[in-house]
Order: sequence, then C-alpha cells, then structure tokens
Amino acid sequence: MSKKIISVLLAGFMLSSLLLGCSSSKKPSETKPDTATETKFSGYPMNAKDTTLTWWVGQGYTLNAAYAKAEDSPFHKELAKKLGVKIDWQFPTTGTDPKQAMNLMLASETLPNIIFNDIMTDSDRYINEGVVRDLSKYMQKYSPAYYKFLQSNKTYDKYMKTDSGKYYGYGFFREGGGWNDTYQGPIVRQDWLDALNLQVPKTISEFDKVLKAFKDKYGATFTAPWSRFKQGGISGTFGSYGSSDLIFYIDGNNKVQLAQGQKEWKDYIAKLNEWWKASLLDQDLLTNDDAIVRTKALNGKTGLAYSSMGQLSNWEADGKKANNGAKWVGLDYPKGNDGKLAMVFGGPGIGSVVSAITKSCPDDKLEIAMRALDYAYTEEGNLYWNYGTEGVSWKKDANGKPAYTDLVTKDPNGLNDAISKYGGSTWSGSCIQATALLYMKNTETAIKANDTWFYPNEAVSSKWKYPSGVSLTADESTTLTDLTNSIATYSSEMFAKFVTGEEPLSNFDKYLQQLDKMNLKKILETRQKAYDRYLAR
Amino acid sequence: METRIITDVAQIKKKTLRQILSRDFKLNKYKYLIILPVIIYLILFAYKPMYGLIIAFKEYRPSLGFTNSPWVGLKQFKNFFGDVYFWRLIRNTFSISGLDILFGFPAPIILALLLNEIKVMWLRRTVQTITYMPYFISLVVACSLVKIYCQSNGLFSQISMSFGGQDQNFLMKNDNFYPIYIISGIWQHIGWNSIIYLAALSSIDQEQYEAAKIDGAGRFKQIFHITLPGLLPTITILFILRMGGILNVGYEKILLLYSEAIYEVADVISTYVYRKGILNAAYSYSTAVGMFNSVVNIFFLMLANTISKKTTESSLY
Repeated sequence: MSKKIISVLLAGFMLSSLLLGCSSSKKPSETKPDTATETKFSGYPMNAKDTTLTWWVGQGYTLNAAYAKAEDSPFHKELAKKLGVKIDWQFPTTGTDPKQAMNLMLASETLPNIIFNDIMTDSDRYINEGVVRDLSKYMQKYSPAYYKFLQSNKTYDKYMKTDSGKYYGYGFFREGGGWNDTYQGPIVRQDWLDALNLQVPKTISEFDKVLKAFKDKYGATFTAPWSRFKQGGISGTFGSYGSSDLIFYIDGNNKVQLAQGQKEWKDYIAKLNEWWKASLLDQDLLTNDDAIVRTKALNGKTGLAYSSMGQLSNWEADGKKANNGAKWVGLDYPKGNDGKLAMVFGGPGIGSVVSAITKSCPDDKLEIAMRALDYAYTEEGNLYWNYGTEGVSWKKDANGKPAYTDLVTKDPNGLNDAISKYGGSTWSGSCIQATALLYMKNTETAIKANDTWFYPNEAVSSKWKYPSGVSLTADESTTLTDLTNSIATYSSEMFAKFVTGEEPLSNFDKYLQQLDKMNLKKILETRQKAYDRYLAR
Repeated sequence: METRIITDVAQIKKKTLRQILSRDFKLNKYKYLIILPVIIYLILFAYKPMYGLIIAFKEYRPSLGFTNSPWVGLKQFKNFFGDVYFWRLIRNTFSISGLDILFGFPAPIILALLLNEIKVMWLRRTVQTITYMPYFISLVVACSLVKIYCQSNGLFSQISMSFGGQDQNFLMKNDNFYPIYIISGIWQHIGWNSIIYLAALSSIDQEQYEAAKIDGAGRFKQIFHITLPGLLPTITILFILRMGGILNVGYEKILLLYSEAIYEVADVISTYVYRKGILNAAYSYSTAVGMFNSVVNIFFLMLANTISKKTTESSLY
C-alpha cells in the first residue's frame, strides 16, 4: 500500500511541476487618455528614485558578455544613477534574433515602458495598434536636446517622424553623417604593387591591368566575402547600384528603381563574367565568408579584394605575425571608363533602430521616460553614452578630448570589447555615436581605408539609397512580402548564372522580360507610394 | 424461465460494459495517475498549440494576437501554390528527401549487418566507435569542413586533379550538390543510426543460425533468410516513420551548403520560406506552408503504412 502512496505522490509532484511552467499573467491594456502630468525638472539626476522604468533592449546596448545581469554592468548601472531613476533592464536571451524576441514580447501582453529595436518601418502601425505612444505633443517640452538635434538636419527629422508626422522614437545617429557607414571597399596589397612597379589603380581598366599582373606573377585572383560583395560590390563603377541582392535606389527624378533591372547592371556583370572567364575572379566567390577570405589573404591567393575595415585590420595583423611583408591598404572605388562613379557602399549615418515609449507607460511616468531618453542627446549624456563615466573609463587628454583610461585599454578582452562595458553607443543605441570613438576602436590602416572610401565619394555614399526611414502601411507590407521573394530569388540566381557564364549575356532581354512577369512594376509602385509619403513629411 | 435467462444475459452484457470500465479503473488507477502528467503534457504542448494553426488562414500580426488578426481565407495557400518557384521547390524537396531515403536509409542497415559479421570483439567495437564519432560533430562544423574541402584547390579538387580533372569549386555546380549532401549525411549518421539495428540483431535467436549452418547455408544465405527477416519489423517501422518526414528536409544543412549558383537544385521549401521571412516576419505564410508540409507527410505515412501492412504484414498501426 505504501508503494502505491509513493507513486501517487510522485505523479502529483510531476503534475505540479508542470503547472509551475505555465504562467499566464494577462494584464488589461491601459486605455487612458494621452495627457501627461508635469513634474518640475531641474536637471540630471532627476530625483525620481521611487519611479521605476522598465526598459527592454533588443540589440545594440545589450549586456556585455562578461555580465550576467544589469546590476553588474557598469554602463547600465551608472546610467540609472546618472538619470536619477530606477531602471528595470530587460534583455532577450543571448543568441535570439532581435526581431523574434520583439515579436514574442509584443505577443505577451505586458509591455515594458521603453523598448529599443528596429521598428522604424512599422512605426505608424505600431502607433495605430496601440503599442507605441505618439510623443509629438511633448517632444519639444520633455526632450529639448533631442528636439533641437532633429531640427538641425531635415533628413534626421524626416527619418524620425512617421508618415503622418508623428514623433515616436529616439534614434541612432553617427556623428558627422555617414563616415563609418562606408566601412567596406576595395583593398590592395601595396607591396605587390611596388614589387611590380605598378601605380595605384584608379579606373576599372587599371584594375584590369593590376589583376592580370597579379595573376601572372602570383597566381592571385580578385576575391571578397560573399555576404559583403553581394549587396553592392563595385557596381557603382558601371553606373549600377547592386550586385546579387535586390537593391532599390532613388534615381535623379526621385523615382524608385531596381538596380537589377537596369542596363547598367548588364555592363557590371559583363565585366565580372570577363574576369571569371580569364580566371581573374575567385571561383569560390559565392561560397566565401570572412574567415575563408582571411586565409586566402594570408596565403597570398589574392592581392586585390573587397572587404571591410575591420577585416583589413585582421589581414594586417596576420601579415605582421607571419612576417611576409604584406602591406594591405584601402583603395578608392574604381571609376568607370567614363570617369564616373555612381555609388559606393554607405548610408546616411542614421540607424533603423529607435527607443520608443509604449502604451504601458502611464501618463505620470511619461515625462520621466522622455527625459531619460533625451539624456543621450545632451552634451553630458553624449559623453556618457560614448565613453562612460569620467575618471573611471575615460579622462580628458592634453587636447581636452576624451581618451580611454587603462581600465579600458588594458582590458584582457581587448579594447573593442571593453568599450561596450562602459558605453552604450559602440554597436547602436538611442544616442549619437562619436566619430572619435570609432577612431579609437580601429587601427590606423583601417581608418585610412575608411577615409579613402568615404571622403572622395561622400556625395554618392547615401543619396541613392532607398531610405530605411520609409514606413509601410499594413497593406503595402503584405504586398511586398508576397511579391518580393520570387523576384529576389530569380535575380540573384541569374546574377550567379551570368557571372559564371552558365547563362549567356545575350539572354539579358529575356531576363528583363521575366522580371516584368514577376510583378516588378507592382513592387516599384508600392515602394514609390511609401517613398512619396516619406518625402512629404 | 428462458426469457428471464435471455434478459438476464442481456442485462449482464450491459452491466459488464460499465463494469469493465469501473473494474479497469479500480485495478489500474495508479497506472492512469502515472500516465496523467504525460497526457497533460501532450495536451498542453502538442494538441493545444494546434489551435495556432488558424493563423494560416489569417494575416497574423503579433500586436493583434491570434484572435484579432484579420481573416484572409486561403490567401496564404494560394500565394504558396501560385508561386513561380512552387514546382521547383516541390521537386527539389522530394528529390533530396527521396535520395536520402534511397541511399541513406539502407546504409546503416548494411553497416549493422557487416558489423554483426565481425567476430573479433575489439575490432568490432573500434569500428563502431569510429563510425559513431561523426554524429557528435555539430552540423555547422561538419558543413564548414565540407565547404573547405569543396573549394577550388581544396581537398576534393586536388584529388580530382591527380586523376586528371580540373580545379573547381564543387559546390558551385548543380550536378554535385545531391551527392555531396547525401554522402556527407551518410558519413555523419551511419554509425548512430545503426545502433538500433544492432540492438534488433542481438534479439534474433542464435539457434536459427546453428540450424541453418547444419543445413549447409553459407554466410550470405544466412543473412538473407535469417537476419533480414528478423530485422524486418524494425526496418518497417523505421521506414514508415522516415516516410512520415518526407517533406522535412532539414533546412539548416542546405542553408549552410547552398549558394545562389545552385538554387536550381538546392532551394527547397524550407529555405525559400526562410528567405521570405527575412523581409518581414511572415508568420501566417510559413504556418500555411508548414500545414501543407504536415498534410503531405501524413499522406505518405499512411501510404507507407498501408503498403507495408499489405506486403510484409508488419506495420506501425
């Protein structure tokens, strides 16, 4: 009999442990009218220690891997202190996709007060669906620093508003515009150029000469990691705007066009095909990743390549360690035979991530939340978000500029990792990222390379891009989701076939006809409508 | 008197149905109690979530939830079936799955049979361990090995060049993809999958082998007439289960190995839907596709079960 009692108890135990796993806390959604109660603001810290803000961070300034919880993280801890308010930080589990984590959070009925994620394209919808608050009424009053910042630049202002002109989010901006958004470009081995007595190639025909010489002398080819090359590559040289990925751009008449549908794209892939046939283009291009290309660079399999400034620093370090005399430098994008360059990889220096205040934030907390987010755009807050606490992680150097202390520079995990322990702007955040920070993070060669790619080409680094600040209505979003994938698959497949020669270029017109059959016009119209609304903001 | 007996019998029959149930419960109530958590688990995590299938008929938005997202009827299915690439995706999925079953299913069986013939115990155990080991390598590592070997001037290229072939990247050609996919799969899973067959083999009566030897049967005749029939129930059940997963081509491995150059043969339903989801979290669409997958899988499962019941008299259900 006692055996039976034990087995019953066991069963009951297992049952109850199951129930522990299911937690269903359904709070009723708040439907208060949008009126905030005003508090007397007298600077930071705000003396609001009895208020708690729940702050969910999907990406960017999440916890550094060294810390298990926010209480240990210097950046998060100190930010709450500097603001003078209690913050209940929430992060998705490491390794989760931020979009997934966000959708899970949205589906769970209890929203945090502040959320930081990539919600720009759906901003209007989130406001209409009652997820995010419309902050337009209070933006100037409760976030003066941020408001001033937005008014200083029309593009910034347009990006941060919804199509109906509402303010809702605090965005990520790179100081000085898009310098670091052009973090990719051509790279060349200067020591090989010197050995062969070649000038630094500036046009595409000079690129041809250099590639042929490198092939003859060293058996090297032009290579790139596929994930980096497939977006734009060197299409700008031919007046085109994209390689394999579907790229939409704005032409001179403010009309939305598809890069893969223009005849200039044909010129670009013709050149790549020519290189392929002459064995000047790496056969592994479509299967390369950063690690594979890094090995090729070390083993002398390439002398002219396309990659990022970060990778360039790695190649440089590898060369030094192997002592093979390799001198890697950044190289300006080649000009076409007509002397023109239509585009380089880049952006407007505005991220698509924002911090937004959700409907779960009650009216009496609204001002505190908005001032907490405004802090990053004040002078004091900007220094904190970029460098951390003065005296702890940075000090003023001889020129009065911020310089990291030994605590950061001598961190055993390396400078790059250490910066994100004390500051929040390293990857992205609702703040303005200082260029000086990027200068400190990167090697001299990398910075020079970035300069070479960006400054001569600033005019074509981002104006051509379909703005990431454009927002889509629910219908437009559905239409695009339904139609885009098949055309994206087709054009990227055809890119591979044209370049490898499997499909002759004489069939290009058939390819264009097929694009039309795949609803290209509808896609362009939909995007045009959304773009026109963005222009009108 | 007779009528009374008849009605008594009828009453006894009626009683016994209810009686059977209550007697059963009285006798076995503790067994039922023990099984109860498992049943609750199945209900909560396997059956209740099936309610979520309704989003296949809606346009799901996380902020609106299951109930408030708008109905769109069969739009997601029409979208999928009407896609330009639908037939190609079906063809590729069935090809990869079919070839995997054709070559990957018998391989562990053959390995088990061969291992069974090894009488030197230490040799047998060594071979077993060596064949098991690849299973524990993570898929990402295994695929990056394959990619490196397939590169131009990589291991496979050099081997082919020594036979007079050309230097090439093997993963760029359509013709090479299926062999690479199947063979690397066999390499990774053959050892692990043979375990269950070896276990089944050990349950075959040894006396039958002795009797066969006395009757003059050689090794192959023994395998054919004793071992294989003994394994047949295990093989049948595993085969039917395998058929039930015919459309579940694991997208991770294909994602790691494919590229735009071989979309023609490598793009399967799951990779296509995965790329679709990058633009926008297409929950409803992928639920609809998943539902289609499950329906086809069930169809093949039932088909395999019926055929097996008719031909070999052993089946899953």
